[in-house]
Order: sequence, then structure tokens, then C-alpha cells
Amino acid sequence: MVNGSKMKKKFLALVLSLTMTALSLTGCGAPEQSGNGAENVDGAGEREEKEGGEQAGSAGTALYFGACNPWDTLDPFAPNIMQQMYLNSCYQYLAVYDTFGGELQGALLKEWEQTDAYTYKMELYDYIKDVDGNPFTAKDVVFCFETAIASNNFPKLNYVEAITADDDYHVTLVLNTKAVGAFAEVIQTVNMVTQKAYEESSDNMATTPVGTTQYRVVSCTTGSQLKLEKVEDYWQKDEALIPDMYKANADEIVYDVVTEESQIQVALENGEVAMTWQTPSSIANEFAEREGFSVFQVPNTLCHALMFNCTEGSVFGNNQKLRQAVATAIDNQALIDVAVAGNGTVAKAFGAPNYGGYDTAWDQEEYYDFDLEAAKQLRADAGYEEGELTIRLMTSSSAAQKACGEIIQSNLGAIGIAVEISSYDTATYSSYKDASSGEYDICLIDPTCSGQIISAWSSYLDANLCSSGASMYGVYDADFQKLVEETNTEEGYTKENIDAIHTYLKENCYIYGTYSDYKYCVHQDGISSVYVAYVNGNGHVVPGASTF
Amino acid sequence: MGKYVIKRLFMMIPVVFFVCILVFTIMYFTPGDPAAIILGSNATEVQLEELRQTMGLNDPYIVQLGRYLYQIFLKFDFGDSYITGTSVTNELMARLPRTLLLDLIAIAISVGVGIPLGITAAVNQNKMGDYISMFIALLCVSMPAFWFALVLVLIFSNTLHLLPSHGMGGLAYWILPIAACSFQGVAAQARQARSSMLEVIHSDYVVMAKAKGVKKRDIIYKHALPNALIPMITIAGSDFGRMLGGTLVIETVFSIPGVGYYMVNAVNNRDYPVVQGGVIVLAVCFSLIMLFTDLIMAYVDPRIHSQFAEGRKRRIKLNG
Repeated sequence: MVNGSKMKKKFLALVLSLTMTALSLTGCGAPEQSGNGAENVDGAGEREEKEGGEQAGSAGTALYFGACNPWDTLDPFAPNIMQQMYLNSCYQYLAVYDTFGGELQGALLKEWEQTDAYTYKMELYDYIKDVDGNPFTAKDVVFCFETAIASNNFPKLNYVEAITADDDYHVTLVLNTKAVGAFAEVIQTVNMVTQKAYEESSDNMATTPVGTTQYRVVSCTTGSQLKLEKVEDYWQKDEALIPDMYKANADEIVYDVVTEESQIQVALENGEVAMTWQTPSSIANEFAEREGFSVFQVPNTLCHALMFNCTEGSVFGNNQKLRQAVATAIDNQALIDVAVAGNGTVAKAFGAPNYGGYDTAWDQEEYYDFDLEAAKQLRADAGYEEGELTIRLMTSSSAAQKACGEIIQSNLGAIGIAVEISSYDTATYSSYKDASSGEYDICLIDPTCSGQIISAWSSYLDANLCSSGASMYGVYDADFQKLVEETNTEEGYTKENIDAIHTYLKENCYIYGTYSDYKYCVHQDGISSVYVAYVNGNGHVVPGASTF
Repeated sequence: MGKYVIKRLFMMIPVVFFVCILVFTIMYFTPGDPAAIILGSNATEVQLEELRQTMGLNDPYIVQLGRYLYQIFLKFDFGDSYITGTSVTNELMARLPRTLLLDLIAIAISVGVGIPLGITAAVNQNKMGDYISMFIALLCVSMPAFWFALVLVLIFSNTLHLLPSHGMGGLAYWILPIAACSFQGVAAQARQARSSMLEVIHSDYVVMAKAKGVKKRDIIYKHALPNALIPMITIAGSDFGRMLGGTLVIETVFSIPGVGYYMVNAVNNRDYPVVQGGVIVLAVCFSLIMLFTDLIMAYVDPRIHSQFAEGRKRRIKLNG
């Protein structure tokens, strides 16, 4: 009887296992591919029929864009770190960069000139109207700046000393800094709307944006779907005067939020979306091989690095050899393999090769290349025996940083240094990042860059930006601080100064660059080119500006 | 009964009050600076300090708590999100119906499918009907919601192209999330129904009914089931409450902008008003569900109903 019961249980367990396996395998079957990789989904309910790749092509069609970050509000003056892509479809800046770290191109500005070190005179087109037909004038520019400054949401606006309307179409902007790229950063921070439309909006345009772009929002389900259609009578008639970022090649854009990674893949395969951005490199690799899809790759505006806690009392404070030992022990290619599926470049500096000011000569230099024997020797020279030292490594909760943390743990284990990894969510990680917190010995960082390398460096090197009064890594060096401040000015931003900072960082090894990588846009073959806009360090695809 | 409901509703006030204090305190002592998140890594210490001052984050704990409780209990306002500046109340009210709809239908399916499965298993104990029912229940309970949701997507959306894989829209968009959300409830209900029914089926009055020649169908549905329902209702009530806070996974997989997803983002961003508002709304919903569960139990079981009545009579007698 007992044996019979056991047999039944075993049989049941076997059937259960087989059923679960069968379920998994049924799901894993290769999907049927249509010619353009875009099969429509039946039962789409109230949502409009989608036509996959063909939808994005000719006139009178819609582009379904799979966005991995939801938005919470489309208020032009809310903090816009996560929702920049959506906001840029609804609102315009006065002018925008044409490429990453490139030249400014007027959007609402007809022209501008710098009259002294701090003052900029700007002239608006005199025929600008928002999508509701309200005229846009200099008073609206002042209103937008004042509202954005009052919100306290934009640190870059701290550069603004004054802004005044000289007449209906002329504005004077006075800055209080000569920092490199300050003017560009300031004007690419404030979304422009007419005061009348903003004040008439019942929800501060959180769901009903009225901007000056070529698109009008027709429906908005916060955090799920945003639908925009091209306006008939756009104020700027001369196509040549419209910056690429604000071109409108699709008649309708539908942002469809897909946050889960495997769902992005399914949505692309099903043709539910025609294009995605920030696609994980593993998925991008897979689609690169598929018929009907293409992968567009752009260098990331983030560079990846490792920062040592060099405060007094830390094992790395006043121990250059130990910092060098750690840098030499890290296999950067292995970091690239685990973090970004092999699609990256080993760093030769604290910064990425696509940054303005990056000197390609650095690529030929020795930069703590992976060498375990040399690392062991440096560790011994630093005064530590094998197995004597345990250090704390802090990472954010991102999958890439966690994976890198494990590789570093393994690499340092090979030279006799034990590593304890602590991974924190974004808020805690940000709070602990300043070395004065004492929460780590080494920390993985991903600085962003708004175009010029000094913008990636400044928040880590400039002691004026850190609460402790020292640099982010915990050292105050008056001469170096002077050099950083001097370099972060239009006249001081010279090759010599940039090189001096690079050399200082390299020799002292306070911060060690590990690798740079790419961002991916996977799209159907019907889309012939993808436009990526770079606004204050964040690159994002502009679906309407892509060509079909 | 009416007084009981009113009494229970009043009892919710201290519950919500202590939930407010607890959540506020936990968030207050959790590391992470909302000002730093809003302003990003390029903000100076002066800017951060200015924003903290504006947001009232520099005030002592007791001042912040008092201000918060005043806002909640006297102004019925959860405040504005630190990150987006939007009204938390409005945002929660927009998202709550989606989460409630998902959970309500899921729990209805759990009960509608799980209880018949459990009854079938109990009535056919150690027979094929029992094995099949319990196999289905075991299958449901063995699969994590996340994995099952993805399997459903791969089968019905990616392979068969019958249903959309994600998003909000018509009826078709709800089928997979509801299926994924309900299957674990089906298992729980089936197992509970089986064990409750088995206990009742072997009791003396059921044996007596059988001996008197009452039809099997009547024995099961008129005599056994009502007595076995109490634990099933309890499980359904607590499952519903659990689902309210636990649909995050389903909301994430299917990109449904519900309360769970909203709150997790808020926790990551240290958006205190959103987290606190979300927890309070869920606590109120949970309390209401528990009250509703108790009322259904009283309706189903005359013994519980009479306890309420007896309590009232006893009070009248004591006062008299």
C-alpha cells in the first residue's frame, strides 16, 4: 500500500515535470516570420490595427515605438530625466545640438550672439505658434525660464543670472559662469510653451501637452501609451530651418511602454512595435541575425569607471600602488563580455572616445592593462600580503554593474584581495557615492557626458560640487582643483589642460576607466535610418525624425 | 449587522493611522535623498540644500510626521509626487481601478474554477477525478507567476498570434494578465476546497443524509458545501488582499500602469508621498476586503450571523 502511494506520487511528479517542460517548449517555438518581421496581432480590442513595418513607411502611416521607460508626467517643467524622449516629441528647446558634442542649431531661435563673456542676445522667429495656434513670443521664453527656475528641478539653471524680453522677439540671457557648454546646456534644459496654453491647462500639461513641435498629443494613458499625430499647419514652413531632431517623417507616433526585457523581444517579433531603443545588447545581438530587422548602434554617452575611496583612513588613501594593483588586476574585456555581451571597447582613459576633447593619442598609451603578475607585485609593493586585505565594492542595482562587480571580485581574488560586494538601489547608491560617506573602498560609476569630456569629469573631480569640500573620491589637491576650474571655461578648455587632467588621473589612479559601450535601436527593415538626439548627456531616438 | 459594519469601519481609523506612522517612519529612516535624485549628480550642495529646504526635508522627524498626518486626516490629501510634481491622489485614483479590476476578475476566476475543482477532488477521493483536479492544482501552485506569464505570452501572443503581448486596450489585452494573475489562486482554492469538503463529507450529518437516501447532488451542494465554505471564503479574502499589493509582477510583464508598478518606482526614487499614499490606499482596500469577507461569512453561515445577533441581545440584556 505504501509502495503504491509512493509510486503514485512519483508518477504525478513525473507528469507534472513533463507538463511544465512541454509548456515551456511550446512557448519557445520559433515564431512565424512575415516578410518584414511584422505580423499583426488579432484581437487587438479597442486599439487600432497595426501594420508592422509597413506602418512606418509611406505617408499616412503610424510608427509604433517600444519604449522601455514609462513616463509619469508630460509637464514641461517637471524633472525630466526619465521622460525626455516623450517631452522632446511634444515641446521644443530654443536650439539643439545637431550631433553629440556638435554645433547648436536654432529651433525657435532665428539667431543668437554672445556679446560678452556672460551675455547672449537671442532673436526668435516672429511667426512661431504652438499646436493650438497661440503665438509664441519673447515673453513666453521668459515665462518658461522663470517657471523652470522656480521649480528648483534643474541644476543647470543655476547658471542663469538673468533673462529679459527686450521686445516681442528678442531675449537677453545673462549667465553667471564661463563653464564649457553652459549656454547650450541651459537652453537645452527648458522646454518651451506659451504662457497662455500652460496656464489654461488644468493639469500643468501632465497629460495634455501643447508645444511647438510638429506633433499634437491625441491620447495619453500615463505610463502605458502616448499617441501623437502630425499637425496640418506647422508654423515653420521652411524645411531647411527645422533641426533634424524636430523633423516629422511619420504621420503618427505611438509610444508603447514595454518595460520587461523579454516582452520587448516578443513585441518586436509580433510587429506590435516597429522600433525600440535602449534594447539590451543580448537582444540586439539576436535581432542583428534576423531577417526583416536591423540594429542601429550608437556610442553610449556614459563611460564606465571605477572610483577609489581615497579619504584619510581608507586603505586606498595615500596608497597609489594599491590602487594601481587593483586597476592592473581587472580584466576589462571580461567586464565587457558579461555586462554588454561583448559589445564594447576597453577604456584607455576616464572617458569615452566619442566625447569632445578626448585625445585619440591616449589610445596608444599603456593604461593599467590586465596583468595578474604585475598586479600581484604592485599589491606586494603596496605593503599587503596575499589574503591580508578585504575591500568593499559598491555597485548600483543595475544588472551590468552587478555583473562587473562579480568579475572584479574574481579578478582581485586572483591577486589575493578579497572583495565584499554591496549593491544598492539608485537612491541609496547616490547618497553613498561621495567617498566621504565611508560606505565603500571601491565604487563602480557611470558618469554621463553632455558632449565635452569635462562635463563627465567635473562632477567627480570638482571639489566645489561635493558636499565634503574634497573631490568625489575624497582628495583635495589645490593645484589640481585650480586646473579643473581653469579647464572648465571656454578659454581654458585646451588640449594641454585636458591632457594634464588625464595624466594626473592616470598617474594617481584615483578613478580608473574600465570600458565604453553602445546603445542599440532594433527596428524593422522598413525604417532606413534612425535619428538619435543628444540632450544634456542623454541620447535618445527621435522616432519622428527617423526616415522610412 | 449595520452597527457591526459601522464599528468595523471606525476600527479602520486607528489601523490606517498606525500604517501611516509606520510607513512614514520606515521611509524617513531609509537611506537615500529625494533631492539628489531630482537634481541628479551635477547638483551642487547649495542647490541640494535649497531643494531639501523647499521640500521640508530638513525639518525634524516629528514635524514632518505631524505635517503628513495633518494632510492625510484633516485635508484628505496625499500631497504631490516629489519626482513629477503630480497629485498622488489623482494618480492613485487613475491607477487603482486597473489594479482592482485585474484582481477582482482574477479572484472571481480563482473561486469559480478552484472551488469546483476542489469539490470534484473531494467527492471523488482517490479516484481519477481527484487525481486530475489535484494535478491541475499542483501544476498551478508549482509555477511562479512571472514564468507562467511569460509562457502565456510566448504561446498565445508570440506563437499563436491570438492575443496582444502587452499594453492597455480592449478585452483582449486583459486576458493574459488575468490568467497569469489567477492561476495560483485557483490552486489555493482547489486545495482548500478539497480539504474542507473532505472534512464535512465524513461528518455524521452527511452520513445520516446519505442513509436517508437524499440525492448525492443535494448532499454536496445543500448540506456539505455551505458548511465547508467558511475556510474557502477566508482564503479568497486574504488572496484578494495579497493580490492587491502583489500584482506588481504581472503589471510589469504586461506593462499595465497599476498601483504596484507605481509604488515600486516610487520606492526606488524615494518618492515618499507616493509610497505613503499607495500603502495607505492599499491598507484601506485590504481592511474593506476583510470586512466584506466577514460579512459574506455571516451571510453564508447562520452560526456567525447569530453570533452578531447574540452579541447585540447580550448587550441589551446587560444594559437592561
